Amino acid sequence: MVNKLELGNRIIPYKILFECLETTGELIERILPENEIPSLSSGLKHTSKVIGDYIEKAGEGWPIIGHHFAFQAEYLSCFDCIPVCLEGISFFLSALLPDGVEKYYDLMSNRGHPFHTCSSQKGVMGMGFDGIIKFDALITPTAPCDNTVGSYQVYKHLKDTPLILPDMPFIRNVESYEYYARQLKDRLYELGNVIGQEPDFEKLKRHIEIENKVNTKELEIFELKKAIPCPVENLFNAWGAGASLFLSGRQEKLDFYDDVLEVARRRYKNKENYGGTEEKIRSIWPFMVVFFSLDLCEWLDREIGMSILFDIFNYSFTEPIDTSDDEKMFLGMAKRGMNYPMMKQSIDFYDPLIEDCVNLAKVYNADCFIFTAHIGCKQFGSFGQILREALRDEVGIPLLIIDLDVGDQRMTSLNHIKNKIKIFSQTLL
Amino acid sequence: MVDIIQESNLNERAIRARDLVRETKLLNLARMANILIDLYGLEDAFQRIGKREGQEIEMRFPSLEGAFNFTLVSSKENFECRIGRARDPVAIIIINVKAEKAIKIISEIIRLPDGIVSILKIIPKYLTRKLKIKGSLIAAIKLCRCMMIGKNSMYKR
Repeated sequence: MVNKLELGNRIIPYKILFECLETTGELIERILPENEIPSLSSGLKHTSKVIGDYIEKAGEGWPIIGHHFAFQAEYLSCFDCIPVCLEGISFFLSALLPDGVEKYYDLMSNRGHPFHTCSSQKGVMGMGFDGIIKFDALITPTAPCDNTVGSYQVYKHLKDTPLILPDMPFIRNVESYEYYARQLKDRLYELGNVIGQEPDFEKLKRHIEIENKVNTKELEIFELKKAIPCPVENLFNAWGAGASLFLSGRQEKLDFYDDVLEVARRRYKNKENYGGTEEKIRSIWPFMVVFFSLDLCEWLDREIGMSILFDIFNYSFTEPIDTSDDEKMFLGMAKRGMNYPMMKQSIDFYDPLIEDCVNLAKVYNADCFIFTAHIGCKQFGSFGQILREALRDEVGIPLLIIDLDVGDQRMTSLNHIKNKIKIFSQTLL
Repeated sequence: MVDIIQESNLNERAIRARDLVRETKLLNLARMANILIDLYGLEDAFQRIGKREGQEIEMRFPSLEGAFNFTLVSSKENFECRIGRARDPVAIIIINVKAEKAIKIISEIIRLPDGIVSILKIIPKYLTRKLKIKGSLIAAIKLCRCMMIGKNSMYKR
């Protein structure tokens, strides 16, 4: 007889996340006025619903598939499975708990895993070794960084978890997209063999079409962000990333974007800034926001009057996927996957990224850039200085570099980050 | 007896899951209390801490099997809600309600505007024993006032 509780306890981190989302949601609803941080309240509501649904399905025995954030969850919708984004779990729990998932980072460090690898993957790895999560299989592209390549195989060799690797080429041309499209299809069949299911591409198509609709709304939000003041609050950047990690291909993601868009349109119409303060500085964060303190986004809005126009997870200007036949659909999926946030920027030379940043600065009237040099992302190590020079020469705006671990507050404290930004913003005003 | 039988039926993993989830509620409450006061709290109440600066206060949640501890500080940026029992508390606030009502009580305190009227609004909870205070009533009230964000300008918009 199937023990629902036992099966559900294969993903204890989802239960923890669900509890956090529910508690935070209730607190926000009870304490803050209705119109404050709408992206947070909407994000909490929809994410909580989806995670609750996954916990229910885990109780019914659906397989648990761990995936890299750049292997989008909607691609797994051809199976009856629970997608668990490794990077999403670590970083969102680091935002919602006082010490985040530090004990799991430490557990991996104590096992000899290098301290400087990406905390996003180390957290869930630690949870696996602590026995609170059990994957039936893992799937990750062979990109975007050494952390991914080094960390995912730990599960395969030390936990005997089947690891599926769609091979992602470095070059971007028609042949590469076709190659990766074949890889995606073949690897989904391989995953199907592991979990004993046949991939249902009709079902996949329905979820891809939801993402196409989301894409249209996302582009409208990006267009509205050109307005001064920016009609979208900073926390949208964080919850936009959260929606990509946890809600991909789901109706709830569309609902979240509808909620955000509605508020943004109203603010745009009324030339209204969020937070009751004047927008003094328009910033672009070419890399990540600080996940261990998503409240920093709100602090910037309220205390500094600084808008975050984009972070790396939110300047993805992709095209809708043609779902008219399987071949075109997989080609579209391959293009989207290879141009997904961080994949596009990490597996190429810096030139296209620098060009994108310079263009964004001009089109969106940015006053500055803030580059969070995450310890795990060594592929971006020298990027800050090169971008700083490009922005100074091409646009005449400055860039601030903050060395930190975006998922671990022990490397650079929140107070230190705030002080750096305060001093930097004084030089701009 | 029933509880003991049910407990023995739960395997180790289930007990762990239950404990982790229960612990999560308190941890998340502490995290959010810190964020809310950091973002929306007002300095006035902190500036009135005076000679009580450095005193410890414990807030117990019997239904959640845990406690917060606070040190009274004279500046908002030093405010910290920590998990665990206080070492030498001058006051212990006991939130004596069921687990599902704990958030409601905390929210009500935080949502209030700092002032005498708000203190009066807490008194019924004190009289109905939803809130028990052991030790210094004044220190407990000072902590509650530091946590009240109801005077923030966002409530006027």
